[in-house]
Amino acid sequence: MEKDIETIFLNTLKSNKDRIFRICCSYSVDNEDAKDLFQEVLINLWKSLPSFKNQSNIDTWVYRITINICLRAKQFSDKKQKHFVKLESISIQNLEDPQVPNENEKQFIKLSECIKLLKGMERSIILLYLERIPYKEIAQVFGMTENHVAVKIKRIKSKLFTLMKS
Amino acid sequence: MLNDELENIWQKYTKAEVVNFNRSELLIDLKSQLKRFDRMLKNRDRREIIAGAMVILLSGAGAFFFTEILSRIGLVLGVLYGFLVIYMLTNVKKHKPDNYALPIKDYLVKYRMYLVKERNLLDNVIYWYLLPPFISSVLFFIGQHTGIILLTILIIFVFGLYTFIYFLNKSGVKKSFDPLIKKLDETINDFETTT
Repeated sequence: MEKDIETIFLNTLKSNKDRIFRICCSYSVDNEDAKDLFQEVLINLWKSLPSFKNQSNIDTWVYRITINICLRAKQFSDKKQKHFVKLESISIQNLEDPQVPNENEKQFIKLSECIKLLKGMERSIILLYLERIPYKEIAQVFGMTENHVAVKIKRIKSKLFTLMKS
Repeated sequence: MLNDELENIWQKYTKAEVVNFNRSELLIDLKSQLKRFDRMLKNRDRREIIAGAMVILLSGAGAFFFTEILSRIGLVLGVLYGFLVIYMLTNVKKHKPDNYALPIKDYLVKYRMYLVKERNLLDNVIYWYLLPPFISSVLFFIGQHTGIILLTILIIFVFGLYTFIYFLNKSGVKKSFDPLIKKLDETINDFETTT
């Protein structure tokens, strides 16, 4: 049983780790902050996995935990987060300030900055959209209808376009 | 900007692997960190109970040794106060939502409920945290026949201290909890409106 949980955890992490990190980045002030948040998400994924029921897709479950942790820690808490978790076995490449950014990198940096200007929930919705998560799954993550998600995404995209142009 | 251009910008740059981990080391790491984390949370919860238990123990012992009736009533009230503090602090913790796997909207609704409980706990600090030990200590000192001057000084000192604690909590409610609850309300409302 424990072996099964370990395998599920490692496989799920393998396919979602970079996505989880990108979500953490959008709620963090810098790379170090994102690393701390990422480790907090990881420990909570590991802690919650035994109670995972196959009622939903495991990826949906991962996004829920990630976004709930990010929102609670970065949007709805006035306390400075204390980081007690230090996972030495994780290495994260530093993404900040590529020395000579090419056009793609410049656009990506600009897009990331604009995403950070959005409201907390809008940020998560657009990130899942940009990661090409189907509307149905996004709706399950947030507890909304697919129609509602579609309307939201349309509105957030138009906000992002305006921010990108300015 | 074309509709799928945002997606393309994102996808082009996010192909690279940023996070790496060693499978076996990560599991060992997670298990030990989780143990440490749980121990730390338990210790934090224990500290609150220990503080309440000390009040119960000291007041209980005092009620046994002091013979004056008013002092005894004051000390018995102190014992009840210790239980009340433990109950209030542990009760609010029970409402802290720790199921992060809930849909975001449901989690935020639960988190809001928890914040409202914490806010009310601070807002009503006068009734459960300040007034009972105030009455208890006044009764105790009256029973000890400390004399009107000393009693007045004590009452003024305790009253001053409690007024400070009261306003400190009120300001915490206003500066921390109310803006957070308002922000949460806006986000939750956002889930409900499509137009």
